[in-house]
Amino acid sequence: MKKIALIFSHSPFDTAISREAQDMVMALSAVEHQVTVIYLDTAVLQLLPVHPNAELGCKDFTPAQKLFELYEVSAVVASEQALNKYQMVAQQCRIPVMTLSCQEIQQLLSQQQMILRF
Amino acid sequence: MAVFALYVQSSTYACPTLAAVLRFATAALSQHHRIDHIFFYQDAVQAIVANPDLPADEPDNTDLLLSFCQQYQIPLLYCVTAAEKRGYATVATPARHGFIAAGLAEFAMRLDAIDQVVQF
Repeated sequence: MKKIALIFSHSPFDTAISREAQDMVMALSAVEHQVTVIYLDTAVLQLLPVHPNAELGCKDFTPAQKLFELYEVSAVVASEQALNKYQMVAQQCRIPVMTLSCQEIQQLLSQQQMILRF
Repeated sequence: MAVFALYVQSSTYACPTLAAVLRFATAALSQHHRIDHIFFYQDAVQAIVANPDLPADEPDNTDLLLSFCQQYQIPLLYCVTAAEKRGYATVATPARHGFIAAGLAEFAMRLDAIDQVVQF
């Protein structure tokens, strides 16, 4: 079991990067790694529910975030700075998130054994 | 001595991603570290395409990496789902010889025995 942080920093439908990163969260958690997901910058927009009638032109993968709890993802973190930038509050997010400052995120990252960026 | 996994997700087309992977792997082995495997995910799965039609004046970095990994017995794994979704590993067009189909679960399980993951 490793402590692994996955840092997301892309908006939800900017290439397939975030969609496949979300699959990675589930795969790592399924084999008992202690996974922390951190949403930085534009990636906080992944946490906003998309209107069901939105014409995205691609599949909305974000509802699968609800599986994080089932997979026992250890922590889901949203950057306070990013939430402020996009005028969001944690309560708007689809799943419960921990809001942390840049400094707190740095501290969290220093406790990890591995870090992957998406 | 450390055990490394090299995780590749950047595009590998017409850019130095694979050259950087090879440079890192060469340096790591020369310092007596071990590379457990190299895993291709996201857009990096394009590296498995069997017959890229490369211009004569461009290096075939995939070929260089394949030779290196064969020499040092380093498995080159790719996420079969990511590849199939992009049409890169089908019955009609199988992956380039030397690449091994794997899943995210295998990558995840292998991390237990890894000291460091280096991402490209």
